[in-house]
Amino acid sequence: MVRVESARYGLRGGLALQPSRPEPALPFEEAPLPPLLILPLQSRAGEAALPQVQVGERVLRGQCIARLAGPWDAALHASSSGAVIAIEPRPVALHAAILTVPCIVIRTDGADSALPRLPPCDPALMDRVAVLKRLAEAGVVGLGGAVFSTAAKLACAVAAEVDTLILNAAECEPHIRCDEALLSHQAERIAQGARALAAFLGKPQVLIGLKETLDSAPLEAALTAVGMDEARIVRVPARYTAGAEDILIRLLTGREVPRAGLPTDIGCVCLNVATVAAAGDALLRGEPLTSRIVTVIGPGLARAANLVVRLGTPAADLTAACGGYTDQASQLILGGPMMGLALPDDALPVTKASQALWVASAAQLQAPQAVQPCIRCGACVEVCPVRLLPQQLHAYARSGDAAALEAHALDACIECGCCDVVCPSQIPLVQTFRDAKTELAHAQGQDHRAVWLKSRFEARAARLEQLKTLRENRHQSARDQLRREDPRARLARLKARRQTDDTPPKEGAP
Amino acid sequence: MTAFPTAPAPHGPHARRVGWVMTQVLLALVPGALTALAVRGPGVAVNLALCLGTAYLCEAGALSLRKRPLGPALRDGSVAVTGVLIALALPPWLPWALPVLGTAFGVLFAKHLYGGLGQNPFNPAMAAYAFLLVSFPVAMTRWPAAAAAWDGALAWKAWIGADMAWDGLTGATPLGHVRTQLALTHTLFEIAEQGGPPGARAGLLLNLAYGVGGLYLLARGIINWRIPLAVLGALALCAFSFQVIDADRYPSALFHLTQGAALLGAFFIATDPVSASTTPRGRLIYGAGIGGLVYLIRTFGAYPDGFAFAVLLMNLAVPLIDRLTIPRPYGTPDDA
Ligand code: SF4
Ligand code: SF4
Repeated sequence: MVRVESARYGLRGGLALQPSRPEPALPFEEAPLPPLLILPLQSRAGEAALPQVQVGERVLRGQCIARLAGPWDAALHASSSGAVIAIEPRPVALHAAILTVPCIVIRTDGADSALPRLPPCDPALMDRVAVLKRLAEAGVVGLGGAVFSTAAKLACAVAAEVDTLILNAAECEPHIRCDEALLSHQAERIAQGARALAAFLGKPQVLIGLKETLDSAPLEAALTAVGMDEARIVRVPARYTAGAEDILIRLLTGREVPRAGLPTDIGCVCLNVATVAAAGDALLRGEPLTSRIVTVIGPGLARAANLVVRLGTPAADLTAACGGYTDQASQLILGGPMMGLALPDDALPVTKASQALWVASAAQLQAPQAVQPCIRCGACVEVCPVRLLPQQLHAYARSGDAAALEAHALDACIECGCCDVVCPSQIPLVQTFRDAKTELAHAQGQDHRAVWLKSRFEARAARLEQLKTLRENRHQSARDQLRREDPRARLARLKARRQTDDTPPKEGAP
Repeated sequence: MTAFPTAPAPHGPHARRVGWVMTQVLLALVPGALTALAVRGPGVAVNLALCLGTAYLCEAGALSLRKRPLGPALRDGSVAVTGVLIALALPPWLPWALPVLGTAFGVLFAKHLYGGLGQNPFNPAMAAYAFLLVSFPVAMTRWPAAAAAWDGALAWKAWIGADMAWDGLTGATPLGHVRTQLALTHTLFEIAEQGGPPGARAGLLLNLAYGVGGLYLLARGIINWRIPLAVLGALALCAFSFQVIDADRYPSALFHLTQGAALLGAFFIATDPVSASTTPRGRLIYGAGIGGLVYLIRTFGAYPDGFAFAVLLMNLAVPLIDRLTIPRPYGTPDDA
């Protein structure tokens, strides 16, 4: 039996933004194939991917259309079949801003013909380099919004020999309910992915942080079905910022990620459940990442739904799939009320980072108010999940006191916005903090660049070293494993694997 | 394609506004103000009117001198809270010029000289009170005896500052009474035998009324529990420790918690956000400091009650407290 328990460690600050009881489930369906797909060549700050196709070329679903140079960088795939009609700069939502970046535009042909799937790459049988390569080739990235390459994250985790794999199913912003759909309709994808990644990491403890208002039964059954009985489902409060990576890690393990460090420094690797499901698809079924679940919701729409959406689908096609706008539609927001990005129009496409499309009514939005002086009420201090003093940070940011900002740990701010929404003086705190961070980085530009170049060099050297060790280990570990394993268990495992391979992939319609 | 307006995150939910917060504080003061009116007589209403009027006039004057927009500051209600707190702290038989003078001092000197809302290091209401107490010690300790509180003629004479003998018409507050009796080497037991300090019931009632308002503020999340709890906790702890040492000379914790400005001070004065500490641990220290000082002043100082001086002294310590109690940010080792 999979253990279900409540979180042992407390949550600090945060806001109760969601109902404390389960909400009625949303319909779960496949979004219609859009006529046009817009796939940005850039998904986060950094270099743009190199197109692997030319304008006019026909592409199939799952065909790689762009890739980056790094060995663990995620590739980009056509999310349906059709013709490349343009490779041109277009506005897309990237990392909390609308930027104009080169995009590959595909006119779909409606046939949705796919490339044949790749052979499975089960971590229980394959060596680690092959697994990481497959994840990168299949374009798997963090689907919780960070879109960091999963292969790169796992390479780090292997190098740090992490002892804990955390699955994040604690989505905590209102209106973001894509993981909820995944958990109740496709829990087996999560379980299979979790088993594969646990095998890859050498059997760490597996903790699943599940929002307490979500039903744990489907996931429990799925985990038991794949033999992951030792996994633990930890119920976490339905409270905002419980789902932020660093906060969830502390909630589940009591460990804190060092300020300038990574979760792997404290033996943890944390992946969103959707990412784990996508990794499972890539490894066990040979399927690249071409779609994701997006919650389309809000009083500005005729109805709400969780849609399985091809990457690159323009927002307008999704709102149309939900019956179009009502006269309450006042803003189109990609994400939730706390960290979502307001879109200037609905031609912008869904990316791997898009979790929800929220068409808000005026009543749901904060009307612009006159800013008043800080009255030091401390409401912001009470809600800050990382124990900062927002009112002090604000004062220092305004006076441009870099040393004081450093001493008050501006860098630890996760820009969650809790302080901002409780401030009775309507001070735009988060905006001030974002600007101050940018300015600080700019001011330290010179030495930063030197540090950055050095770290890049070191990272490359480390990566090469890592690859070498991995290669040396691989035969040895495979041999060891076979030697250790009981022959009957081995037979059972091979049988089980054949069964998994036979089950039809459940991508899409429930 | 449909276009939409954009705005930076966060997009909601709605925050409380300063004006709403101050309105809630004023609302929470209603039971206390009504009780004060009942036990202290019409002077309370006159003080309220004088203080509120002066507070608004001074605020408007200071703002226009500083060339600031009047609307938002007058509407946010913070100056009303200052005025009401001054009025409720004053004795009811005061020449009319004193509330006016005190409030003007509080608003102009303690608030606007430092840069207005949010900038003042000292609690303006307590600065005003302390200013009056030091400058007019006789008038400021003239509390009507229970029987004379609602005597209109006497009240009138007090307001216009008529020259007359007040002896016999005034009575000490319970804290003052106990203090004088103890100084005459009576024991608490003897005081209790003579029926206890006069006015103790009224004092208890008044404190309960402020307590109700304070609980309302706590329940609505307007004030945080740390400061009031620390003030009352420290006051009670000091009283209890001394009572254990000598129950004949040191009144009980209950007496201290229900007399004088205890609950008004803990819930409404010490919690003034601007001049209080803002860190969670700092608030505990700040509150405990006030509670402890109040006890010391009441027991060993020159005044029967000491909220104003305790608050002002702790206001002085706030920058230091804040600096020493910066919380450890997430992901930072303890020794950093
Ligand atoms: S919530 Fe706003 S007014 Fe209150 S202390 Fe923080 S910044 Fe100042
Ligand atoms: S935005 Fe930053 S300072 Fe404000 S509550 Fe969140 S983490 Fe704290």
